[in-house]
Amino acid sequence: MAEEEYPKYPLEKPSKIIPQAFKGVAVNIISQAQIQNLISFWTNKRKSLGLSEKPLTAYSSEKAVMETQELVEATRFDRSSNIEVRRKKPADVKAPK
Amino acid sequence: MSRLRNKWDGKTMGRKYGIFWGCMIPALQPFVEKATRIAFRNLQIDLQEMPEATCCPDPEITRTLSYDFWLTMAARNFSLAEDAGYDICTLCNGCYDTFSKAGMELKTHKKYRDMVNVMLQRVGRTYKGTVQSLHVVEILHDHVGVDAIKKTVSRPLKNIAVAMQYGCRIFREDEKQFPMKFDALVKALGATIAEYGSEKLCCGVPIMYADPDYALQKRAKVKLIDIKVSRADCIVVVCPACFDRIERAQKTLETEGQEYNIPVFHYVELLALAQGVDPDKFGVSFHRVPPDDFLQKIGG
Repeated sequence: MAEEEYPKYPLEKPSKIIPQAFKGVAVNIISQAQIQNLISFWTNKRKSLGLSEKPLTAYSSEKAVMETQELVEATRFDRSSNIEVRRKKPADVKAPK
Repeated sequence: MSRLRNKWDGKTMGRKYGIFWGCMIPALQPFVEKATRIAFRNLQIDLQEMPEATCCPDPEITRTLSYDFWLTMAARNFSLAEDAGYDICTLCNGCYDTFSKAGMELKTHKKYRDMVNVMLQRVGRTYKGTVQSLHVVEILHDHVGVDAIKKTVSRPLKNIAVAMQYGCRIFREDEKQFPMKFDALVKALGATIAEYGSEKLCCGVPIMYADPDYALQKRAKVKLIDIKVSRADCIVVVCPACFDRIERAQKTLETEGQEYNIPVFHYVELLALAQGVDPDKFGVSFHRVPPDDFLQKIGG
């Protein structure tokens, strides 16, 4: 989008160089479709509260991650953020139990 | 639980919402997820899971890096709710910001609708623009109603002074009513509001990526000093990012010899506590800032 299209939110204009601090978030979105890493400390706490160990979102949906990666490619998000992340392939997806 | 169900016949009875947990709540704050499930069940609000939902995506980094990707991913999340036929409920100001701005862009500009649908075709989805995203404050205030919430309160938060952390994203020009609705929801639980002066100051999350020290010293710390002076018993938020920032800031400042010890709650946790829910049922003990004194004061 052109710069003049951001009259109300000038700070939202696209960045030409990805700041180092943004990389972790961008990598996580591309690789797992969520920005936070899910660590065992919290999966254990979830279990102790009677919640599913993995949240019922892209955290437990390979399909959601694969769709995200398809959209990353379609919009060239990885190229605009200059990040290379190995895409999930159908072979990576485990069959549901 | 059944006692509450029998007492209340509010407007949301039977109404379904697609619950959008976002990234932070399920991964870092499962106590908020659990409290939401319990408190909403007490209000007879039917939450439907969105098992293929992704990050909203976040309004700081993703939107800055690629406007097209940000819009397309938001449209994909909308399409999941459209297929299921329900509106989206968010518990996060960041998700709300993304969905409200992206939704507006997609509804207003045909070029964006066309663009996202070309992209979504690659994954077999379509964005139609038939559902909306609502913040939990809007659902509780506008759909459920303050009176109906009061009816579920069995342990009013008497003698509790609450410092409001609205979150900067809900102060937008077109949402002037939002802070007042949030105030009304807190008062419905029997608590009073402790004014501290820097309510409108951002918690520091958006600046944190670029300058963590500035975010701490010029944002979170300023708020914490003011809140401490106000003698509030706790801080209430409606955003997991504000929650995380304000708690972490207290722990960081503690290592520098500055003690605040002001417990932080998401509104749904206070709601559950006021409904008489045992704090251990939703994991209050997992908070970084222990709310022991607060719980003792409410008799929890």
